[in-house]
Amino acid sequence: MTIYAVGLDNDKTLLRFITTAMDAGADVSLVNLHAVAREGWRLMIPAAHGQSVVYGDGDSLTLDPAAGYYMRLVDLSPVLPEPASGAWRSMVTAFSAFLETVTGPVVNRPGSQAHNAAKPLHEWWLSQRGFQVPGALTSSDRTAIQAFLARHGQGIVKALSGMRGTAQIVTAESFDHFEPIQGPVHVQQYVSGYDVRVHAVGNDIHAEKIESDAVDYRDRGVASKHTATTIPDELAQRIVSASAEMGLAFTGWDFKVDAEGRFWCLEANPMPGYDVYDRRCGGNITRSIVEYLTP
Amino acid sequence: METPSEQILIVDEADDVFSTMFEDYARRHGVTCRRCRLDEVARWVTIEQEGCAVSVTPRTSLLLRPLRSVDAASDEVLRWTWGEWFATVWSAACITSTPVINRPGPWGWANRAPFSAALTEWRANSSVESAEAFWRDLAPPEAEAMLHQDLSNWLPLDDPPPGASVRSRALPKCRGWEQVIVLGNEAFRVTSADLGGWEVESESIGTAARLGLDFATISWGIPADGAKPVLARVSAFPSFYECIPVWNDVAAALLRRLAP
Repeated sequence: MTIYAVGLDNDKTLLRFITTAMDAGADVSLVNLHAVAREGWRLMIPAAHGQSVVYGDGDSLTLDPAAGYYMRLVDLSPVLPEPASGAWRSMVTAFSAFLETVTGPVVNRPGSQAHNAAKPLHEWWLSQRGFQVPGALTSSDRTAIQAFLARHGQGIVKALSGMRGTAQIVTAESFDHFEPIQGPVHVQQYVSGYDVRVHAVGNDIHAEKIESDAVDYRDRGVASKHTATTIPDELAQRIVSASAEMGLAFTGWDFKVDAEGRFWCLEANPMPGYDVYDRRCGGNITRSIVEYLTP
Repeated sequence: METPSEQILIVDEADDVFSTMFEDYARRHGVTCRRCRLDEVARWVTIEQEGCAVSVTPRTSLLLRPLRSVDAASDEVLRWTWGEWFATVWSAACITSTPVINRPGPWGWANRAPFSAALTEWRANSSVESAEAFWRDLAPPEAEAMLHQDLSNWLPLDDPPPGASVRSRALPKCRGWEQVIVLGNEAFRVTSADLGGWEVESESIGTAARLGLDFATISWGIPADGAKPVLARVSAFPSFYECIPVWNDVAAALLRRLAP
């Protein structure tokens, strides 16, 4: 059974998926959005109600609605000039609708929950599903921010939206000159400990322990030690259930583990850039995705 | 920092006629409203979470209206900042225990109502009467019998030009259209056409609920051959013009929910 890999041909995660899946014997076709955007295309909604065709560098590709789809849709419209910007937005809108209605398996199917892009809501949602989530405050009120930090000692300032920002450690004094016009900010209780990254594909769990002195081990130039690890069964089950409830077949979870061994959930990523983790675990994450997409 | 004292905050754009008319209606009925932009509300909001407990202030009812996202051509900082405001207000409106219309859910500002007509029908009914094609320079079969819309501005197109991104759909020949404004379990019909035994109010309420919408305009095409009405359009943000024929009923119902 064919797997279509939909995304950008310069996306390291997509390329990692394609090469590792093909090494494992999967039949993978790249649907390169850069190439699709240059030529004619047609996508039917629902996908099974007609022929959907895209062109990639001159070759036509009729998309099988019963195939598996590994999707990394990227909206480049904000960085493109018109009319390319509008054309790209339309193409992404069309793919989102098409992939929601294909009859085969999709990683991840559009139409899933999107609250990772609204961190206060995301963290509250996770806490309601039994995850231990650090305390957090979102506000433009200096008094409220300083009172929260005085209670917790140290905090981490994070981006509220889904965009990745630089996490910083802050204290109440960090906000002595803060004005509401600079807000809102999202401050989360700082948890000291090591990191655990969990990738969940359906019921498969892949966990890695990361030890580092940095605030964010993913920052460039940070020294870190990575080892494969396991997580408690109850936590694994909670991750599988929450991912299914969000409508996500593939998720990347970030945890901090404190000195008492408690797992603090930081976030669940709906489109994990998992290539570096996959290299370290010998392609096991990709193999789980391939199994999910070729049942 | 100033905290709004009005009973209802309307989060909108300055040129939203619906907001102007509703604010006026509410004032005449003794209820105070304040119209505000996304950035103002984002700065008023405080959300605090400890364990499973969460609090949101200010504790004011919210009427959420459609927002224009930041211009794609604007600079990166403004796009990032707009995202921060939006994430804050989306979170607060979803979590707060005060009345919110439409309360956004885990899917987003308009919940499960997408831009695709066929996908809307798919989500609402788990089936689709008529497929929809999204395309550019590769027209679907029998395109001449379809209705076309330009995806850049949603305007109808008679003959899509080369290079245009289009969505197209064949709809049955209709003898008319029915439009219903839904608010929770209340439905207000805009016409009084005879639809036989077909329950347009309950069908509209069910459709809105399945899309996660409390407040919506549900439009139906009434086929000329007497077949069952087809879902033609769903709007998560009814306009004033859609509501005109039933405005007093809709505004009164909104007020009952937002200022109980």
